[in-house]
Amino acid sequence: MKLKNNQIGVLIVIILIGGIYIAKGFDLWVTESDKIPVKLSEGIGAGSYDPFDIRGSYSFEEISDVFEMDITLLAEAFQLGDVEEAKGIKSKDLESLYGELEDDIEIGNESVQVFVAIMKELDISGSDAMLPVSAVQVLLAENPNRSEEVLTYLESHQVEAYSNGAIPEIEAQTDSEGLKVNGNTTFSQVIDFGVSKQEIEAIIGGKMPPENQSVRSYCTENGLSFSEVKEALNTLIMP
Amino acid sequence: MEKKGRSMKKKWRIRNVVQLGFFLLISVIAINKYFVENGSGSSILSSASLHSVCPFGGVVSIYNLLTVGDYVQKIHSSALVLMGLVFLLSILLGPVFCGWICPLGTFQEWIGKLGKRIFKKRYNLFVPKRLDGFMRYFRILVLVWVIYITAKTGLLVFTNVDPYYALFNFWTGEVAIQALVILVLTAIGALFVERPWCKYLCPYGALLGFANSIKIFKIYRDENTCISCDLCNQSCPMNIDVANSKKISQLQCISCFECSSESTCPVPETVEIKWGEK
Repeated sequence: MKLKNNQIGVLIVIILIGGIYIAKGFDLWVTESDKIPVKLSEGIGAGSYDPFDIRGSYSFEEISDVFEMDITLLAEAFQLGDVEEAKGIKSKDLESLYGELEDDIEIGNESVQVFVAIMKELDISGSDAMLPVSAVQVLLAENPNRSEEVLTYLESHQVEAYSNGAIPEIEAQTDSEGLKVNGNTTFSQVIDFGVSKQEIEAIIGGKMPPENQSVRSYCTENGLSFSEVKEALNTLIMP
Repeated sequence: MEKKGRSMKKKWRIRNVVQLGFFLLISVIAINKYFVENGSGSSILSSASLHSVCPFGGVVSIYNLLTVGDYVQKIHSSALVLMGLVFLLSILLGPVFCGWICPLGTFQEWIGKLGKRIFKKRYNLFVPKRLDGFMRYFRILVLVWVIYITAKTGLLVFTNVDPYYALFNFWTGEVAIQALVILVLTAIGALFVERPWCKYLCPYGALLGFANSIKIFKIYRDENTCISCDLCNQSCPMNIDVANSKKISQLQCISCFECSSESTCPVPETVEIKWGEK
């Protein structure tokens, strides 16, 4: 059996395009991470999505969809302009939008996590992220009868900060995230950040996992809270 | 002869059309991804990252999937699907991915056309044979290194030196300087040597090259009708000695089929792509 060049060309295109089409039919064609946080396994709100698993790469539209929150509230809280503009902005973009604030205060992904947690009336203990006054106003306007713990938090963690309105240029993930543990970080990176294997073992309460495994996937597999492990590791990385 | 000339032109075009098509497709994906991340871009076009449409990402993810059940950072199941499809194509036809699809190979070929104009018959013959033969083992070493380092870290470390990633992302600020340097050196090298990256350093080409020994459709040269004009050798971008081989199963073959009677060989039915020949 002989093949001609034009038959080869057609065969290549058919196999590739057809293969992708079939893979799509079986839901095997996935080109990006699903923007779905892990669910809380215990405590207040068990079974609901964990706001502290919101990653910097989530857009405000995705956050609004997953947590079933009106995007106008998010846009108003973080001064993101109109709704259409807010949809495409990513949580990590807040750092650029707000720029450098006094006393090393930062408005970023963690601010969004806390905001969503309070909106959904979930546990915020252990959080220390700052919120712009506009976000605090939205939270109080939505529910003036917040718990004493939340009111104290809002009182001590609000800052007069204003978005500069400029949607930031694309940045390399490693640059924008800095030396921080995020949803993609592997244990080999944590070691590269200067955390020893013993320290990792102490935090996860078990033997050192394979270095090529991501922290997030290990936590999910072993029923650990990713946000708590992440927080503990970040404390060691940035004392 | 006139008919043969017309036919050659037509057949020459089909591979180049396929190459151009994939080059444009990857360019559009890369550019759209950049605009989508900046809040614009088209929702109709794919905003997939280059990593998710690179079949080599599937290869380097296998160890991670088997040991920790997770993909390497930035890799998704689409890369694994493409890896499977490219393996299927390679078992059928050899590394057609290299000769017909890979945009970096196409990029080098385009620069090579300029090199051919400048150096005429000296083009692609600058590297002494012994040195060339020795250097061709490098890509296997690169393959072993990439698989080892990715398995150890779970990270796409190769991206930092990958000229393919650099070619389609140089404007984003995400490309490591060493990858840009390698891209520039590859482009300069392609002026003297056809497909220098493919020949000496490409880890994926090294892996797909093994398919040459098992591929179903092989290139055969009919010794009885061959007129020993050597045109097949001159047309081979990988410097394979087609004129003195009965069957082409060298690991370096990229299945571009430029040597075939349809493309370059002037004698009909002398260099052909067949299945079932002994």
